[in-house]
Amino acid sequence: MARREFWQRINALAAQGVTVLITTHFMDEAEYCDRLVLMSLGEILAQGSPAELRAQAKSPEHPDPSMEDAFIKLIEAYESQIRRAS
Amino acid sequence: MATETPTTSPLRFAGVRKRFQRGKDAVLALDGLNLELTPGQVTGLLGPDGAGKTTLIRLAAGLLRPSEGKVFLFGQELSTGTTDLQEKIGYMPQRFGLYEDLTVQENLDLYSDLQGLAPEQARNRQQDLLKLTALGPFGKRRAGALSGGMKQKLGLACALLRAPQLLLLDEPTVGVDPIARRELWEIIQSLRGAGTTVLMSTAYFDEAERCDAIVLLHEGKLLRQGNPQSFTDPLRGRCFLVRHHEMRRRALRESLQQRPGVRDARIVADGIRVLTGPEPVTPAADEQWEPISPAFEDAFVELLGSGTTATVNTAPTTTTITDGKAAEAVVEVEGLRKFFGHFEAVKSSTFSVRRGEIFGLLGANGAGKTTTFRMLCGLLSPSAGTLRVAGVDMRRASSAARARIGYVAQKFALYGNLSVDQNLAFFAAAYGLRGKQRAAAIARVREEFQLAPYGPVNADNLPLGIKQRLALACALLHEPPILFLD
Repeated sequence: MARREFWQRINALAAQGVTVLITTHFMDEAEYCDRLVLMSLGEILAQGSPAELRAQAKSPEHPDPSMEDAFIKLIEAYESQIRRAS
Repeated sequence: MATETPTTSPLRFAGVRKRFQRGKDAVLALDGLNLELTPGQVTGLLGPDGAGKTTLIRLAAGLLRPSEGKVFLFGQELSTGTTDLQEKIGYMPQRFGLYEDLTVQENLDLYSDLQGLAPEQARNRQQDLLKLTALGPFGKRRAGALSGGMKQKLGLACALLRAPQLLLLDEPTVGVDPIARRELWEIIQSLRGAGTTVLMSTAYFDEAERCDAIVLLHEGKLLRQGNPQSFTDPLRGRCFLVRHHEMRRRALRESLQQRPGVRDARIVADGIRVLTGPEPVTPAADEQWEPISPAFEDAFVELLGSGTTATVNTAPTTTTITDGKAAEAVVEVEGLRKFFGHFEAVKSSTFSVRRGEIFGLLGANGAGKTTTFRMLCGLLSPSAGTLRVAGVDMRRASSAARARIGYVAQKFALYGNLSVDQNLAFFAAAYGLRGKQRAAAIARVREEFQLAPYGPVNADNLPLGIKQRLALACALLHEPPILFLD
């Protein structure tokens, strides 16, 4: 519940014009952001709104991925590509 | 001596109270707790910060003794001759005591030895566990060089060496990235299949939903116990997904949260998730309300309140930005790189952030998020690239830009042995606030963050939620237009 109060304050600050940059491991919190970058091994893999990030992980089997699905899929795809290359 | 009827429950609490002395005050961490775990189930332990979750787990692990009442493990009271009982349990604290200078294999050997496993037995068990945790290829790596998620998996492997019948896990998935969290959860699932009883505390509601049973604690008392459905079923017909064609999600959430009859409104992927009270709420014009199934988080909010404080000033002030396109970029990053020796921690990053935006950095542990943050804050100098924050080139005039940013670190950089008031005074001085200006800034954040009642309390003794408030308050004393939260 501390996180809820925290986000309520962050939203209030943003509404007042404060710019907020945040890192989080809570994928539901990623939805509260206006825009995001997704990083892996020092590289930016994707950036955009939460909907744009989720859309990048769409596939016929997963037409409606959650942010967590998108995170796992994009990072795993990138990291296995790096491993193959090395 | 235990005289109660033996029970097959792996863990039972009977009227357990636990008091702690905190400074001059006595704190009742657990208040008359009765609890019984079902064998072979995964039980999730949930509750707000300070509810007593860690105390409960430490009592079950035999690390603490109850002030009153009794704890039974497999029907036997945990107080006398408990060494044979200890062998039946595995325990992983929030920070497992790995030896960071030893390798993965050496840690496993050491813990096998400490737990009295015969060499042959240890070897077989270790092989199984290395396979289960997929740590096999990392046997020769120093534990200190593992990612957060891999450390958690190694800690779990150490706790599983004796193939415990009861496994106690204190927030095993906290602070790990989604990939490691999924792997840890798969390991826990596989234990369930093998008949192990698991008690795990968690801050994740989706994990609670995957447990067989949930124990919800509040202020040291058992608020409710049951399977996940027993929590969510009573809320059928009260959960909705609300969409609006024009309103931005944050504004829509705010409007819904303020509406009479709405218990909770939160942003989700497709819109705003709303929990109403028992009375139906009439949608406003242009809103689409679609009924959805209740989730555990709805039950949590229903039973414990939304945790949002009415006094938080959410009213937009005169500086409110109207919309995205007019706002200028306040953070501009181009081709940003950072080397540590030969290791490239950040590889040519380019992005910009506009005024009033909430901008998220996601990534696995070790992806370069914190390194990027530290460069943006002027705490670390970039190896290459351009970096402008609030119009200032961070490579030339980082101190000028630093005055315009607030920074809250993962581990709040508070002074634990200073009081709340002393921390505020220290940070106000550090941000160059003097005299009347300093007094006014401190008074403002004390009120805004409701810190007045905690003024003389040392930061170390604050509940987590209040500590978080204090950390934010300290970062906002000089009213920075840019805030970094790591």
